[in-house]
Amino acid sequence: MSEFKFIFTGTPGAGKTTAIGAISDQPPVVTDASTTDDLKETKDVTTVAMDFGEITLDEGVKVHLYGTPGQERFRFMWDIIVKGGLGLIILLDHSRANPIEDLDIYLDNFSGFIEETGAVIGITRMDVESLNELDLEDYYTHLEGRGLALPVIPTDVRDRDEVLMLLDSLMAMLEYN
Amino acid sequence: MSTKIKFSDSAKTFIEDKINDMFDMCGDIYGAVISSVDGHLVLDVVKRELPVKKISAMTSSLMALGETVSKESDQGNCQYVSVINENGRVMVLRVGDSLTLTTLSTQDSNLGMVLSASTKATADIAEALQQN
Amino acid sequence: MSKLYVIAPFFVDEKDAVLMEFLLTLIEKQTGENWKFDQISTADIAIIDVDGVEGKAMYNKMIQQTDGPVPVMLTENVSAEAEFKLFTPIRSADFIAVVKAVLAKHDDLGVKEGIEESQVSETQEFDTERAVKASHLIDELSSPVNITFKRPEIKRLYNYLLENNNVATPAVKITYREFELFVDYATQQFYCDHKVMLLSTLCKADINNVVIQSLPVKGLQKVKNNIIGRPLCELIWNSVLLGGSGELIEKFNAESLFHLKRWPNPKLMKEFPKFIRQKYMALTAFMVKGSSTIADISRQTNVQLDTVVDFVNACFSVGYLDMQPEKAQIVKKSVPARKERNSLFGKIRSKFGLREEVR
Repeated sequence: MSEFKFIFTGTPGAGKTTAIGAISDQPPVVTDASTTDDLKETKDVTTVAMDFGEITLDEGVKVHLYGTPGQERFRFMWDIIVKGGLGLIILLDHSRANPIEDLDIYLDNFSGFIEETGAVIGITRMDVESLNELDLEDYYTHLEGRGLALPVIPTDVRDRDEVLMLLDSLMAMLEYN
Repeated sequence: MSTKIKFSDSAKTFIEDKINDMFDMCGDIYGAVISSVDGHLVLDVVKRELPVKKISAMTSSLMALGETVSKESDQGNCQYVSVINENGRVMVLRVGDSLTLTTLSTQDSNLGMVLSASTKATADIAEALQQN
Repeated sequence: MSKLYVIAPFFVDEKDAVLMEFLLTLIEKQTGENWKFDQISTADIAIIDVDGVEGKAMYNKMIQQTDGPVPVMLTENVSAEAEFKLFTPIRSADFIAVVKAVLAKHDDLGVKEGIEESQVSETQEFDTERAVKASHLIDELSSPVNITFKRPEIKRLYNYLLENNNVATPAVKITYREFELFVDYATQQFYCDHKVMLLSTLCKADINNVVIQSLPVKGLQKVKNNIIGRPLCELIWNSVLLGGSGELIEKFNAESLFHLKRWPNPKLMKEFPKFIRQKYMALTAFMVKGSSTIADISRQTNVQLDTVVDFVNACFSVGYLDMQPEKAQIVKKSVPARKERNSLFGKIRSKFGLREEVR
């Protein structure tokens, strides 16, 4: 295995860059650009290429953390970034109008990768006013309907322990894959 | 979702004129795409069938990566990114703070000429936008 | 007078340890010498898995020592250099050969025991072929089917909740010693001032000793005004885990296959200590991938049988079990790839303090 990497993907504004920053040894390298569309209402900048973070283990072993851009127009970057990855962390912004539909986009686009490796789903922004009336069970029910048994974990990406819980769950899945 | 960057008709005409000047200055350039820095198509003038929306997204990634690499290498600001291919060249340059110009030229094009023409176009367009 | 030899495994996978222990019994029968498999520092031979950081460090240290056990390197790296080495997956013939090689070079090993020579059978050469054939018996040892499960002898809180969990059932107040909780079946909520973990005594108690009274509407409203409601499935789930002690419910047996159709909501486990949550996470990760028997789940995840039983009961009680598990594939593992990956995950967990010592 030439590179160890985990990939963070998910809806724009869900907190991918923040999540990587929470556990990376150094502040992540980001490739942001100014937002010029409706997303500007929630954030001034958006990832347009990738985020890159790194964890150094004993004996100098490096684990890379890559974040993808969230928007579908950057789908080509998803394919590039995901190659050779160990597993996927999907972050969904719960305050959006239809996070289940958002979830389907990532499950569909990364279906091959998820089948080969594994994925966990972090639901962010559950503490803010939402445009929907879903709760955690709805995500589980939807996954069950798709024949998938993936962990769905409410996550505050600013909290290192909560991001680590996502990573730990992903590793648990991968251990039996 | 689309960009909120919109040009008036006169601004569009001005930009298209500058692009045509660029084509005149360097005949090997056959396509120009103006996109927002976050990958939305704003305007295109192309002499061939091209997936301009995709190119807009991709070149914004390219530009951002170029800027990141130059920063990490401690080499100052990224001036442009060029991709030299078997059948042509793609060059990506900043236009002001929120736009990007991507030029597509033939494989025989003189890189220096392409760069010179592209740089002039970006400077002219940026100046005009700033004045407005 | 025969000798007693001791072999000590260090950082060795449980399945490899079981195999080696079995092979030692064959060697014992062949040689008349006594062999013991024990993790003590005064062993004659130390078998050390060097594919992990700790094992590698221990091996390097032992190689430098002039006294102490003879170190044998256990590794999956076929190009590793060592005087005595054993590769994984372990082949019976290789294990026997390496033990033989160590004894041939170090004839001062072992402790003489007070057994009369006449009682010792004639020493024979190792019958490697016979030992290899016999080692196929390890497959039987690896897949026991004759496990007898404990069955519930008394009814507990979770039995009561499952039997009465119907939206038509009137609300009740449940009291046991100093604990009090309220269950509203209609809205699938329960109300309790305590954290569920503290209800362990209530969950373990014989339900006949628990006071259950119906709760009038006014009383229920008063409770709702004063205590925040929580999902009833949380109480059911935790009452199974807290009240169970490895007693498999009557519906299932040793041949039953279990497959999780969904990952349990982590909220259900948040009150448990980290080391218990880690076990449940391992069980979940294994059981969502395919269908297995309880014995197989226990063996593959290295979680005690009783804990697996309680977890299966809990998953059943909240509807997480796939009731047609024969459709799921049996979980397969790729040993070399998993070993490298699991070593990496161990290092990541170690860096972030994600693992507690398992009790």
